[in-house]
Amino acid sequence: MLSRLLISSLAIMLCHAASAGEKLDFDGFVGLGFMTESANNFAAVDGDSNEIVEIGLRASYSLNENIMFTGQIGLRRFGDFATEKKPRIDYAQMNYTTSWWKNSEQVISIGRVKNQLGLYNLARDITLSRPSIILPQSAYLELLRNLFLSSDGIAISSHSYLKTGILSATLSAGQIKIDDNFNHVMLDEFTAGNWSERSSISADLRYATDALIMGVSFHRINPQYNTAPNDRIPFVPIGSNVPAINGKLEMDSYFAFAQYTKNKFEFSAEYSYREVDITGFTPGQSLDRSMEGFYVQTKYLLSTSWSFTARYEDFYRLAENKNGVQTPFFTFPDWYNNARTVSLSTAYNINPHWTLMADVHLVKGSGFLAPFATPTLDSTEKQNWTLSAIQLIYSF
Amino acid sequence: MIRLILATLKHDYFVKKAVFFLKLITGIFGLSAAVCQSVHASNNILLIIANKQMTAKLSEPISLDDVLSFYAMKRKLLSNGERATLLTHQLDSEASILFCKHLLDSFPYQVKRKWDVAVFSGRAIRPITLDTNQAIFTYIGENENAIGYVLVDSTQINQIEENFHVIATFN
Repeated sequence: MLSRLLISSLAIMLCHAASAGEKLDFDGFVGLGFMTESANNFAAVDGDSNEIVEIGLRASYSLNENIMFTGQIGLRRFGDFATEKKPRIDYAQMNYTTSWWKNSEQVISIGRVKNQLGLYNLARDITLSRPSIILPQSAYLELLRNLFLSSDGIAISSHSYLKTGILSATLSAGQIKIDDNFNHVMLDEFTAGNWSERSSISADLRYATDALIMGVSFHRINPQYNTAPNDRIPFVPIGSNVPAINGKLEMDSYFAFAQYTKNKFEFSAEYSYREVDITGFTPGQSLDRSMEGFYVQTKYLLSTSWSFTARYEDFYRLAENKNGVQTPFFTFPDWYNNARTVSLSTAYNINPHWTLMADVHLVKGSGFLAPFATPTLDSTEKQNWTLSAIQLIYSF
Repeated sequence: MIRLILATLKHDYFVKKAVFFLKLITGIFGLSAAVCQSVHASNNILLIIANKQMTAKLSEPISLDDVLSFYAMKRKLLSNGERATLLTHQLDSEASILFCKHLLDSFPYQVKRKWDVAVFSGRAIRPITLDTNQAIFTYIGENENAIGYVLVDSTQINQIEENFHVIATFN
């Protein structure tokens, strides 16, 4: 309701501002590409390749020195588990910027607000701002993307300008937007129920100098699933679908990150830890698990317009049991719970509007693949597999 | 053992595929990079300028660090609480390359990426791009909160200082 109100307000403001000249600001990007995999189901369940379409159109209107309305509509087709059937409002917010004390700025945002988490969550929907087409899955799980991207509510951030750098704190509270893909991602394809209790909170504390960014972030969600008639969910020990019951997912995510830039090099590292409680969904099932991941990344600028990024990452679906073994009668391979990825990405800015990006990811294990709750044959085809992507982006 | 060898061979196969793919991409980019012209810094002087009236409005004089924070999208407000309006030349212009490289310690495309993150996240307004020094002079002259940079001949400095607040000068 709140987001609809804000979105309507934004549309009215933009119409009102049509003749306001420089106060009205438009930007956009179109990214078209292709990804292919040697096995498993990141790109496609049936087949091994898929198109990449990422489109964003942003508008903002400055009402006065302190109040700005801004929003972005996006469309994303990014593999079978992250293809949106219709355009999505990534964010639509009113920002009030002020300074409550000397050498500081505070921003209050109301509406559908993006969540500042880790190094890349804030801008993960913007192709040009990512270090690679496919983000490090150890921290930015594709299958949970929309739960983390934004929430309908309020965010307050404060930036203090110290002599040595900037100390920033951001708090946000609201409701997550659960889209049609989420059932598929969480529970596989034979479910049609809905989700309630969508509250989310997030917090971020970071310190930045010209060369260094370091900080910690926290995010909490606890959506509840209400079954529909004839819902069926894969049941791990049996390996076949069973009737679903109501369920609840509680997830607390913690991030610690640092990025250091020196001359032509940029070094990044990020650690993520998730406490996940899954109750219900299938009879007698209750899972209390922790997931852990980290990556280290180096970006090198070969020229003014050409960069390379190399990355190593590990992800553990079971943090307490890093070899992946869950139960003696577990019917899927241990490596379903882990993933080790070495990747190389490159980005070439052809001119200020056109950018070409390409990725190659060598993966061992399938720990970050959907569906989230249980493995399937599609997600455990091969332990060693390759994921490649190429994308041409136009921004204006 | 046989499974291990097979797995290794398959993995090698994927590695080879990846190497081939990279060589292909590298070849394409290498060709493009080779035809790019290098940019040579000239003897012109880079000036960071603001509206002449800005100093009188502010509780504290604007510093070079303030300006760099604005262009890095780390802050938005002047010391009087009003929003600064930033101007840039085209990113591939000599003025932008010098400004980004020597003052922001980045290439223009790195700076653009920071702007993209801030702008597309709904947290900032993109700097206004103008094509000529004259356009920047005109805009700053008409807008009290405007800040910009220009690459000018040293003979023009006195005249610019008469009409604008010069925040910093770089040879």
